Amino acid sequence: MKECLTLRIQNSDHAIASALGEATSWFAGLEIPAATQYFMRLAIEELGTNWMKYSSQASHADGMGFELLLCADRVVLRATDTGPAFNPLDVPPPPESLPPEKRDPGGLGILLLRKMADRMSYERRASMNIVTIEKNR
Amino acid sequence: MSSLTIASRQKQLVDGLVEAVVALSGTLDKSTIRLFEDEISTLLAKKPHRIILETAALNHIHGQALECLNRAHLAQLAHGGELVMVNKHEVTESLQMEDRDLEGVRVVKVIGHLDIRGVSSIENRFLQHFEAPNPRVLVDFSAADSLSSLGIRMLVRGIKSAAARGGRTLILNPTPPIASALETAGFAHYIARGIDSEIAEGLRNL
Repeated sequence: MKECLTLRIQNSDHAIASALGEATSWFAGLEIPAATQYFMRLAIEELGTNWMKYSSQASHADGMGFELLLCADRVVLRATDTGPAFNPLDVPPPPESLPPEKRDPGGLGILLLRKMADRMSYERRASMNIVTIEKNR
Repeated sequence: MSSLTIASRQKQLVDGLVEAVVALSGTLDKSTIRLFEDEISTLLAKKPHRIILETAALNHIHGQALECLNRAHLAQLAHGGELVMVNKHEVTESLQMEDRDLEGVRVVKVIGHLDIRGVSSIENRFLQHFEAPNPRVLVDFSAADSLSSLGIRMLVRGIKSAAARGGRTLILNPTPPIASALETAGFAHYIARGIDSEIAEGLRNL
């Protein structure tokens, strides 16, 4: 059996903060590089806040789920929610012509995840958004 | 609105049996009970040998949740398992900020997680450092463990505020993961590495 942490959050900053605390505690007992730990916490926060801001009321009532899975060579995060279809890989990147401090700050979190993940995929199944992000150990 | 976070982790015991630890934080009331019941049902279906419920971070438990726990306890006993409630709670790390003056350069050191857990608690104090006339600010990230888009936005507000007053900002010695995020977001040219007094001298002359 692989090491696994599952998190269910509700629609609040406090819930995401608690989830990050739980992830930090879980990582503390495992031999995972600091960069991978940081990236996974980043992914939980960015996907969680995105869901809080843009998803539906019905989805907020259902909560959002995260599953962190420790594999031999990588850590996998699977995020699920019942909101309207949203593929983070379809979000256009910010224009490179503008310096970062002059860009619209929207979409920055998704950009970080897309560029820093080793693999990232999206699927819509059974009316659920399923985002899978992998980071090598 | 009430808030509940459920963190479940499972591990295999030496004899091949599975133990599930469920940490609850927030409020377990009428508005959050469904989330809790769903989680317990999912867990029971896997028939773990032991379920450990950590409840120290719960500030309220609704009667309906206690009934759900009773049912879960009986379900566990029926297959030879057990359910245990413990009052263990690990204190999560927080965010701190220190500031000092280095011969006209403001050095602002961020310690801990610059993310949703802490940004709002330091944001006003952090931005004040960029509001002096012609400010020179060195943001020390050598002890920062996390930086999310929320933290980057706060940093950008500071950089813009300083620039609007004729000032300059540099980010000092970020840890490798933080440096990677800053570079990915396009802020590589703000990163400075070295001894704070030497970087500060360079910043004064910019």
